[in-house]
Amino acid sequence: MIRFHHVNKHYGQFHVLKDINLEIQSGEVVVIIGPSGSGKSTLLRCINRLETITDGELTVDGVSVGDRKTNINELRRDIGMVFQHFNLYPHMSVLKNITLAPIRVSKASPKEASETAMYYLQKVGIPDKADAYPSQLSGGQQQRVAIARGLAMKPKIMLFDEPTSALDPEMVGEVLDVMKSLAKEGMTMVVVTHEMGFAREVADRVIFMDHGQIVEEGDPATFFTQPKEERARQFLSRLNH
Amino acid sequence: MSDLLDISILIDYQDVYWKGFFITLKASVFALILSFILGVIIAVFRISTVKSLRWFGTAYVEYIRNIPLLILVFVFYNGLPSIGVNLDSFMAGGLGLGIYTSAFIAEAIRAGIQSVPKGHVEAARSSGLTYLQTMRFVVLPQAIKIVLPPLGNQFINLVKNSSIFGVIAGGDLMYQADIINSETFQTVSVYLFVALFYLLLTIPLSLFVNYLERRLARAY
Amino acid sequence: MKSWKKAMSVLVISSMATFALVGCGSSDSGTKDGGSGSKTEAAGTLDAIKKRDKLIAGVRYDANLFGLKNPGTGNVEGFDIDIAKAVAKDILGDESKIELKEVTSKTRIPMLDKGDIDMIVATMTINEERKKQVNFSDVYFKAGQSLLVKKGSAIKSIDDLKKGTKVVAVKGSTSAKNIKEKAPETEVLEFENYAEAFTALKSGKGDTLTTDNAILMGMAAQDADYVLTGGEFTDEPYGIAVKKDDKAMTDAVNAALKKLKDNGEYNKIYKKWFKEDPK
Repeated sequence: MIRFHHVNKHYGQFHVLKDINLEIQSGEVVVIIGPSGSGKSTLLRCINRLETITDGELTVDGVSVGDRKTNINELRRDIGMVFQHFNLYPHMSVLKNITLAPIRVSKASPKEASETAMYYLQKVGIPDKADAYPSQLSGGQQQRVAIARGLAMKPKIMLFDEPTSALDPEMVGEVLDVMKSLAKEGMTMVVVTHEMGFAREVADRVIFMDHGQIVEEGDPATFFTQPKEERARQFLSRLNH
Repeated sequence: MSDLLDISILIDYQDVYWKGFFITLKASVFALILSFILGVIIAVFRISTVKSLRWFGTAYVEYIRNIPLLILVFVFYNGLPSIGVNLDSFMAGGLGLGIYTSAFIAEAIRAGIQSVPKGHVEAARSSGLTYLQTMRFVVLPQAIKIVLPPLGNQFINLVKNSSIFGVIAGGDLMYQADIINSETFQTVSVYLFVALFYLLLTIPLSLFVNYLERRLARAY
Repeated sequence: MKSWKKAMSVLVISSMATFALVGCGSSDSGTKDGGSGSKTEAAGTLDAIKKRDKLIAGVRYDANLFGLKNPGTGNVEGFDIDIAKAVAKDILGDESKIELKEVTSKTRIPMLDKGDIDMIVATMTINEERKKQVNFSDVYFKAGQSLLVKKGSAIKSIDDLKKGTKVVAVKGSTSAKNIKEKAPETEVLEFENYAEAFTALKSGKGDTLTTDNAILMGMAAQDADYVLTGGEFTDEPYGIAVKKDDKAMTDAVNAALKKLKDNGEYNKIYKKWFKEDPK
């Protein structure tokens, strides 16, 4: 589904991603962890070309992301994304936030788009907030709207960029619950997070990154109990204190 | 009181005042439309990812807004004939005023657009919206709230700056006031009356901008 | 509704501010009541000049042959300047006891009224309307209004000024007023000063420039592409203007002018600038 093949990225002199090789299968839930500045968000943002790669090959569903001939807007329809800071449009109601892309990009009728939006609002548990504005919602509610907004395009892949990092602790759970149920339904998910509990419980595979490299990967049970690499061990021990 | 402010000037010369008023109105509308269109284009250049466009936009803004309006208008009026373009005072003044104001408008619009968080653009683009759709549905509706107050100020300044037509025989309010003054020598009365005619244009404009601001503030 | 309340209050405040301004402005400008004879404080210019030991004259900086700032030396030179200096010499005994201030047709009367200058020596035509505003000396130069055109122009005289002809003039000048009366169907474009008016003629904004022949001669001397045409169609006697009803100052200026003419100094100055004897 997603394939990194010898991918490198430079910011000027700074080598952000170093020879990344990674394949993610359809329906797989992959959690990327690592210290801040390790390149995990950058790797995620390359998948829908919010960041461009310097060399190597990156394909999504067989389509080359970096190719100039690729219609990036078409590709992005199939990739939903949820951000750390929600990024809801403050001048639109919750319903309008969710229906904007379906109406403008997928050319859905307003009625059809609204029905889809209500279905996903139901799913994330806040159908009563359809007419509210983002500023009237709590952080947890805003992030759930953002997830519903991503899902409304019926994507094949969902990307999560530290979706709970900006939330008050008591709201983290409600967002993770939505993500868990999504994982159970077989959505292909790539998640950058510091929530180790979520990784342990939900991930099919854990990727550990440091200094722009994939240092270790494996199933969560093995990774969290018997990490092979020294850097991974250090990272995990720091988390436990 | 009547001895100080000679109302007979307003009565005797009302046709001249009104003639100037309508030329000022026409000139302001022309320059306003021109400055807005140019301002939007230059603002888009200023935030473009294309380096040469960005460079051009910056050069335009910095040169135009740092030159006195009077010189710009003189160049259009007296300078262009040397390269074979002879503009009448309305065109020369309108172009000069429009271009001058566009530099300030471009800056106001650029600041407004850049005040919209980058994350909103990323969210919109990652959902498949094109650059233009993102601008239209996500960025500009938010930017307009930030842009409107300085834009209103610029438009009011533009109306007042249209008095520059007076020095190139433009026939506007200021020009007519100079003529009336040279015939009556009632300097204080002549110019205070002309100020009233300017208020007739600027106060409604001011109130209209305030009204729009309040309407937008209610939106969310 | 609220916005209307606000509009009303804005209007009220601005009109109050307007009247406040009028109140202040009138006390020192006083252009209005010039003719009523109430301006007793207008007298005393002569005393003030003697007290400060310097005469302040309003002159042109843009009229070749009369008052023109020499870009090389920074000095202002011309017929008017020499006359002003001669008046200073007569009143204060030294022609260097003079300060020159630039005036235009538009600014000269307000500046005189405000007391910024003691007298105007600036190609100023004596006429009835101006006599209501200022006192004039005897005539010190006889000019007449004429036309300046580009060589080869179809305009040969004032009769050639028809509908559609654009005539360049200077704001506030008698010539602008005259041409509107004598050729009412032409379009008159009025500029701030002679330099801007001549620039406008040269850049093709108008077909002819009209003002006093003396000033036009100065322009033609600067740019040989331009010539006077059609002769003089008005009499423009120039006078030195002083404050309205200031008899002492008027007499002093007239006495100085008379002395100049009697002792031959006037003829010398005239010949220096116009290369001929006075008519």
